[in-house]
Amino acid sequence: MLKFAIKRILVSVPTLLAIITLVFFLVHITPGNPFDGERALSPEALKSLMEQYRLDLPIWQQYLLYLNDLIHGNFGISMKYLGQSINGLLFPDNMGGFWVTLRISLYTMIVAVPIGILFGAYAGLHKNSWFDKIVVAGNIFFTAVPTMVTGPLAVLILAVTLRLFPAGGWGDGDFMHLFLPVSVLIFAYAPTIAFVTRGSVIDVLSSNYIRTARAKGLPTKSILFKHAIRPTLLPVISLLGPMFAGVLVGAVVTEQIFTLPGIGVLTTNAATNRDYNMIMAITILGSTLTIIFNIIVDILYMVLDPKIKQ
Amino acid sequence: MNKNKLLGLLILSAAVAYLPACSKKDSSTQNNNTIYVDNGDDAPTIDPAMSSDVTSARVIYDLFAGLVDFDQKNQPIPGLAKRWDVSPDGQTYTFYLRDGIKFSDGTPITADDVVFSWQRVSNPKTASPYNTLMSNVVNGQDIIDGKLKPDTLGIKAIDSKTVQVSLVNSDPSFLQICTMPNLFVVSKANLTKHGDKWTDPKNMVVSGAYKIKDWVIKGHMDLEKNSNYYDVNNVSIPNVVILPITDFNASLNQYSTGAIDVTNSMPVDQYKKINKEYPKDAHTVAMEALYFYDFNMSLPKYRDNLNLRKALTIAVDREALTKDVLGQQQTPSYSYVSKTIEQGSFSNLDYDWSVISRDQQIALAKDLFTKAGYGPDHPLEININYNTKDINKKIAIAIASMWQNTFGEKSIKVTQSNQEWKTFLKARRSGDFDIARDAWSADYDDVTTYITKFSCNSPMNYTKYCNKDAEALLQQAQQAPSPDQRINLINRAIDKAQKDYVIIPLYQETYFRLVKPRVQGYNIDNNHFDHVQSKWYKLQ
Repeated sequence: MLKFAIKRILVSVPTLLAIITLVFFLVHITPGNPFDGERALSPEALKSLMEQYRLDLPIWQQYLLYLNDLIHGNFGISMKYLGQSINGLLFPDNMGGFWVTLRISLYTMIVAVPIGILFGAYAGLHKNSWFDKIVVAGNIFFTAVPTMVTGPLAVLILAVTLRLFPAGGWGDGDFMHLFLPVSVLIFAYAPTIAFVTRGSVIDVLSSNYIRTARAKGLPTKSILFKHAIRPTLLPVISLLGPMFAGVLVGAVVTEQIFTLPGIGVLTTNAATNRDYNMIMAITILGSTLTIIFNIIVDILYMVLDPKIKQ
Repeated sequence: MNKNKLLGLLILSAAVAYLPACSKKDSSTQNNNTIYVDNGDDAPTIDPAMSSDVTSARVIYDLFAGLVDFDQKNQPIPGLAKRWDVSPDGQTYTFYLRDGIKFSDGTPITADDVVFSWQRVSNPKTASPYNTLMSNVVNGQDIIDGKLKPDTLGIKAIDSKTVQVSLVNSDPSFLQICTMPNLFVVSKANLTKHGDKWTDPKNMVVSGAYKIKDWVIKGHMDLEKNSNYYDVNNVSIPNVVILPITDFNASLNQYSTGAIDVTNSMPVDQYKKINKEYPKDAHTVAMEALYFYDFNMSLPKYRDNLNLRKALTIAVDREALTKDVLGQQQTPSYSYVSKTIEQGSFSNLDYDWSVISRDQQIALAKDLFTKAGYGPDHPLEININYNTKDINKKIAIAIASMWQNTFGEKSIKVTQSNQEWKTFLKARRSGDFDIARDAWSADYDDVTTYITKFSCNSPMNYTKYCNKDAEALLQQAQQAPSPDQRINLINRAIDKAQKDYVIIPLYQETYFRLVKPRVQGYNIDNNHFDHVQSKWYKLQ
């Protein structure tokens, strides 16, 4: 398994390099520069800033220097938050940036995954029951109504009208401040998990080997927990990998609505501000997380599916 | 494991996930020691020299002090300097520092620090976006252009408590310039010691009323009173929490639950509702800022056709624009400068046709349009270029329909193109537009701040137009022997430039803010520049 993991990691390096290269050149050929503003800079001042950020060099040189910095774990200096390092902005010493996003994402997944699987499995086992219909309808509803709608609604009802929770902010990362954003995210992700689980359960239960097991007279409990559970989990696991990576870099709207100091809001304006280094860092972070989670998914697949192991 | 046990385990794991964070205090609990202020975003910089935006300036006003402070009407008052002398020719200012003034680390603030701070702004290596503030200080422009070294700047320390500044031309707005955050005083020793890292809150030494206690980007900036500040006895609130809420609705929600005392902006679409709900808290304040359109004067279509420029300018119904389209008490604008700048010294510059009826205006515009050579047989094609933003879109649509209604759809075809911010800036700067959206906020109470939009060779003049007669009058105004003569000359210069119709003035802007009744001492309704210092606030 270790060999497999190492092989996967090695294969992912060129993928990551390709992404870095593509994004690097794309952001640099976009018109406009980071230091453009309503007030024009004097030519000498602009020259000095371009030098400080190495933007005066030929683009291939900038690219090689950037790769060199990257190898040393340095994402460079932000062009919006002048003088602040991207590493410091994304991974600060205090509770902000990635740490905030990570905590929110972890809480979301810890709650959404078991609930989603449980609801989905129950719905799949009781296909066409009222519970099943609720799960299906719930998935359609929360897929159609994004966090951009559920978030402000939750704030309006539970915070502004009923005054049960704060309307936003991180506070001290306490339960009251986190309840609404995490709940909104749970409602965004759990129904999808439930829906996929449900489909998988229905598929597996109608497969030939389960029918054979039933025909052999095995008790339902044994069929479910010994024979059905592994293949049922496979599609769910392949969904969870990219989903977790997605929550980590994609909770932008939720962070904005609830004014949380995560990386989502930090990166919202990176593109419009032409904060090249921030755009690059976020892309690299997002890609790396996706690759890592995909490797984890592959390894779990190996554990769960003997066919792949062979 | 049976089903019930499994379910129990899952619920337990969910509860455990939440538990570690439970039971800490609610930060929105308010007391009289802390005020919560929304600043609309995080400050891109807290280095005074590098500040060029209102968000940074708002924080820098709290963190740093200059030779000259400003009151709530943005008028200069003594700051780190207790008094100053001006030479009879108006070209030399001598500032006398207060006794015993200190930085937040207890080290004395000396004339050397002032000289260092100013030289730093002029130094091209610092790349201050406001280095032009130094262009009228002796050698300033040459230093900005990289021709001279920063230590040749016309500012010197006579002794540890006296600073002398020499100007190229006398400038009645010089004291106003001294209130700009870029010229606030930083500690030479601190900057020398920490280099690039001096703005890290752990290293930072400040001269202002507050210092940074904690800063979480996109979270909050916690300020606490600087006990070494010269006027500490008049700083009422010990702690200020500056919040960077970009979403207007989120800001409104937090205000309504009591988590914010002073908002930054409010959702425009809820203007009436908010005013109704918070009649005492809501403030709509006329802002020293103008919104207008630029003609691209490098295009022969506009450059060679005054009648066309005039027709398009007159055809805009500014009353309808401000009342029906915008509706936030903005005032129509018929001149290149605001009526309020320098206590109304330039309020008589409105175009003659501004006082005639709308029907007469339309008739006049139509006549000029025909004289310009356009009509159904020779229709005019126009493109309005603006940066992507709802308000800009609304205005462009309204103006396009005003033009089409006035001249007839067969005579004029108006298209609109929106571009994202940086692409738009580049297009506008390089003259790649037909008619472009523009706006300008006055930096300080001086009419020259607006003149940069149409004076020759100004990098902010996107029309690429130059009226040499107006320019000559402005030059004369710089040397004017008396304030009245200066005002007279500038009035004439603006009038001359306005007659060329290169800018379409549209309206004077307002800002809309909620302030909790418990916040006292903040005279918001007279604060047309929206320059605010937390030391003014008092809590009931």
